[in-house]
Amino acid sequence: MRAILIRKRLAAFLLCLAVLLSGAPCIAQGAAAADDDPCIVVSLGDSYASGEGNEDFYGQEIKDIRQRRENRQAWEDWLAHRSTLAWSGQLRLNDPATGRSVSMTRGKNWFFAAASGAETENIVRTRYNPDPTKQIHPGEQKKVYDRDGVSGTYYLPGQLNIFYDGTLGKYSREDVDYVTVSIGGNDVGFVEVLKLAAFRGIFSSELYDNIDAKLKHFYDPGSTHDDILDAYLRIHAAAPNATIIVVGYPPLLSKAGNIGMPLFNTWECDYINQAVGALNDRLRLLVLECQTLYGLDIEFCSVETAFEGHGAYSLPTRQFIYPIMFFKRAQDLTDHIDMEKKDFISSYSMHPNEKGLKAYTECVQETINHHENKSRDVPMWVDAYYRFIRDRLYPEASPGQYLNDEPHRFALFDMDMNGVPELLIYNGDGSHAGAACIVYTYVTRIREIGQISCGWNEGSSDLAYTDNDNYPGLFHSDASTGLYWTVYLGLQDGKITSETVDEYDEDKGATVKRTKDEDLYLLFKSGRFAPLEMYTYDALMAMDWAAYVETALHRSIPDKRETEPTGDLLAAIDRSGVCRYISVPYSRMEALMGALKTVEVEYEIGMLYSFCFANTELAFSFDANLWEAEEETEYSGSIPAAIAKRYLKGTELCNGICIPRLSLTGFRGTVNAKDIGAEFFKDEEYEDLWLAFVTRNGLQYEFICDDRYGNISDDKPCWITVSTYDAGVVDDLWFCIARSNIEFYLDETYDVVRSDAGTLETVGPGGDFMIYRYKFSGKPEFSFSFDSTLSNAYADGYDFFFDDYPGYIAERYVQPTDRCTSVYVSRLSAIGFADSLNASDLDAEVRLFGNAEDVWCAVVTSGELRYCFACTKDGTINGSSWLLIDRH
Amino acid sequence: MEARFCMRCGRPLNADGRCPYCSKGASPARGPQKAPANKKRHTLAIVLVAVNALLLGVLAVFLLIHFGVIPNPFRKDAGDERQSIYEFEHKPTPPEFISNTELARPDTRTMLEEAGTIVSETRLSASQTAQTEAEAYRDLADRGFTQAPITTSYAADGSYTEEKEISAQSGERHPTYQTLYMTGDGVIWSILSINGSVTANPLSFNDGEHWDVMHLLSETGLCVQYDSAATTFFEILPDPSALRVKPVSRIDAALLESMTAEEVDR
Repeated sequence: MRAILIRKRLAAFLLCLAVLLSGAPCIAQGAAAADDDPCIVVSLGDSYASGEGNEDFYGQEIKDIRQRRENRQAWEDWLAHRSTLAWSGQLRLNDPATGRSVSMTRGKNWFFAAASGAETENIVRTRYNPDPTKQIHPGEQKKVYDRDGVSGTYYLPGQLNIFYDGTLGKYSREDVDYVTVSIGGNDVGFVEVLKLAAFRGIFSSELYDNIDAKLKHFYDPGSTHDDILDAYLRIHAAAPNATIIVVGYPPLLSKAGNIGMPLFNTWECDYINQAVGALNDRLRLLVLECQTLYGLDIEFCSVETAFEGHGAYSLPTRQFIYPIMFFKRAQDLTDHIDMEKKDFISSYSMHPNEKGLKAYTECVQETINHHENKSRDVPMWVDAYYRFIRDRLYPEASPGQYLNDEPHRFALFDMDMNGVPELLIYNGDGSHAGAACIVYTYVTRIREIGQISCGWNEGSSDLAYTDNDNYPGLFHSDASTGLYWTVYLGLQDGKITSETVDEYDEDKGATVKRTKDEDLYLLFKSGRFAPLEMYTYDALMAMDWAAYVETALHRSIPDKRETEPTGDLLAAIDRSGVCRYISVPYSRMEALMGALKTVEVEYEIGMLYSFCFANTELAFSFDANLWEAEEETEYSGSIPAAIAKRYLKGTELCNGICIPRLSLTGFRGTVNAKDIGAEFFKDEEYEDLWLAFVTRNGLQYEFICDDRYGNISDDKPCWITVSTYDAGVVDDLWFCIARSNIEFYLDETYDVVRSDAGTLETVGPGGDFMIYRYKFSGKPEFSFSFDSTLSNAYADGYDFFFDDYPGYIAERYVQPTDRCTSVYVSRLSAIGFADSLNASDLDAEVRLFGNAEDVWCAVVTSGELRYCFACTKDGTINGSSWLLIDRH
Repeated sequence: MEARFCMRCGRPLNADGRCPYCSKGASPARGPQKAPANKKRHTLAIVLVAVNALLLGVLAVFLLIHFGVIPNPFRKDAGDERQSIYEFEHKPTPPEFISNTELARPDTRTMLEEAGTIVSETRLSASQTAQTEAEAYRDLADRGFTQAPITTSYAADGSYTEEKEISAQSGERHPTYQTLYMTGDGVIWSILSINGSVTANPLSFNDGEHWDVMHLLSETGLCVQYDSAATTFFEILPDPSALRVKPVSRIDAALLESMTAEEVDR
């Protein structure tokens, strides 16, 4: 091994020498032209930084393990399980506008040295080891491999070598801008804790004892605290001008199921997560210690709230963490288990999956963004509160999403007047009884101070500021109910102080302020969600953030005849995701598509209300959540479908628009759903609403039908959404409906999307449903069931209803399609049959059903259809009988 | 006869042997006129070769360092492990930077009562059935559990300690022992011996995919647990929604080899 390495190095050396002797320029030749000032990032740490568990790993591209071993870089990358999907590689530092991640420039300005299994002792610089099969320095990380018949031991160099061994190329270690590091988890024995929890009996106290022991000794001299501190100081010494981003650990487990859930019970889940939280607390304080005592440029990035509810053993679609995986996986360093060493768990276990890595990326990106803004003195709590609210309350929210029905509302009051406002979140939109307000404060992290139960039971309510030093905050009920219920709020000695008054009490010197307060930055208005990342800090400060939030929002469609519609603030988000506010009156709206102009905000209302594009072709006014946009002014000849495609595809912020007339969608006016290849069915919610769907060119069209026969008038509106479903992700499927030549299924958001890659098979009646199996091409099968109306399809059968007569069902569904060849009705009474009748009444023939020995049925045919009623031997059919309709 | 004429112009030389016209002379003692020039060139060539060799040597060393074949001798801390570790002097950590976060450890009794009915409790000190290392070793070995080391994580007084492998000869008594067993079908079991009572946990089946509640095999139908805080053994009859215990006559390797997930769940 050593000889080969030396030979390779000598070969490289001789090659360069030859080039030099030939007089050709060497070192600078071929080097890419350097950016003016590229951001240099070095990523260090353990498996949570290396992206453990997420293939492909760097080096894996060399398929043959023997060949891989001959390439030192590839070999070390693979042994360290440095993932090509690692969050550190997904950061966007150099070119945030294009979203290009740093992994695209590995080896140029992103350098990756994190290694699975690393401890603080590995965050060290070691001497060059010419024979890495032997350890020559205590900081080298031991890796034992035994896969595909190739086994051995290899010592990875200390991670800080990356600053010294020439890896940085033309850059020096002084040029490094950021060092990201996640370290300490292995020092406190995360893996051991998890194995313990898994191996031990349920309700064992050993897990708790083990965790307690590890945390108990954290601050002992020479123990974990000192080790981690040393690691940070060593990083600083290696990269003296870099900002060190210390990334914390996620809560690993989520409670799901009952208390005795396999492997971990709920107490163990909770305790393990508490332990992770305690470790994060310690890391956070270590960072503060480094900032304060050692003057390090170091930041802590928490991922806890982003992972809350997404731990291992939560619902599969929510999991951000892989569960424990018994046995070895494809790229584990060993391909067999060793009971002697209790080594039978994949190293992939309990690490962030791809979704988790994205969450990690977002958190670290925000921390870095925050750090970039720090030069402009953006206080820490801005990002902290922002992340807290977003992650805690709106984990599913998309950027720009307007949470129209969201009961939570927010305000930031500096209740203790210390310069850092407290965050108040209160549930209920004012019309909910028993609304309560939870108060949080921020010191080094967000902590809950307490809760105030509000006295109002009806009417609307608001938060406001006062100029009273003792009671800077105010709750009050809305006057519309004729009742005032007002509470002045303050915070003293860490405890909430409050005083209830009947109405605004000017005698207390508390003037309710409804004007802009320079010291307060309201990030969230009226409980609505406006993502901070859309603003630069300057832009944020330039906005007229109101101290008081007007809660009354109007969904009025702007009418150009009215010059001053009141109460609305338009927020425009262009396709690059930049949010701008434009104010009413609409007559002043000079925004043009592609060159959106920002108009001054005139009102002190800071919330997104509606979104408006305007161009010479067509003007859309979007509703506040950006999910739908309604065309509202005259058209100028463009085909709306083309417009929709252009804009819907251009932004993730808007995925649906509404066109008021069918003919404007490119379809001819007044059609039948069948004529345009659309599937139609009854809306689940509304009695007389029939909808039709068709997918064309990646766009999903949803029409409102005139009647149950699928006729669509030209004056009916049409919603156009982008069909983006990836048929490969079967986990996201909820329902599958297949009644014609088009298969639809619903994803978790109930968006109807279309599959075009699969086949449908009829399995047969099952319980109250007809069971079908849908097989995606090259993907797992998916079984589902229909009720007798075929209006509803269920993956796991629960509520169903019947409201059609079988002849109609058969006519409508069985005949038009080859996909669905039979309908099963479990109870005749449910579809309007008399309680009892005889086969002779139907002129049906009584015979044994299929090959059954004692199951009789009355069979009658009508055209192509055959009706098979379950009956007794004498032909009696009662209301509880079943019916099978199929093709004759 | 020596030549007395100028080598350049051919005129006779003067008494000094120099040409009166062009000051060139023919000095037989100096030998051929070419000799001095050749010597200079030779010297120059030697110097040039030496300089080139030196340059190439420097270049070679540079490239060897660059490609990591040899360590950089000019780096001030090259090869100095002490410096490379960067041992820093720590300042005392002020109390405000010390986390006092305490974990809310669940009360064992509450936990067990929620998970089932406590049938009995026995103090470790009063236990008649807690095994010595030798007894536990022999018992588990007799049952065929010899694939993996048998370990304990509790000291004789019941306090928690680092996990250690037990000795087949030791008479030291511990509250709990554990080992692992893998069947020929690749099913991994965790074997626990608590207060002399053996339970088997089918880890491979308790992975969340087979069922939604933990399953165990027990020889008593009860679940025995040790609470280190109270140094007490608890026997509980578990609520099936929290834990399913399948009673078996004897837990040994032969039994586990025959156990399928369906068998365990039956």
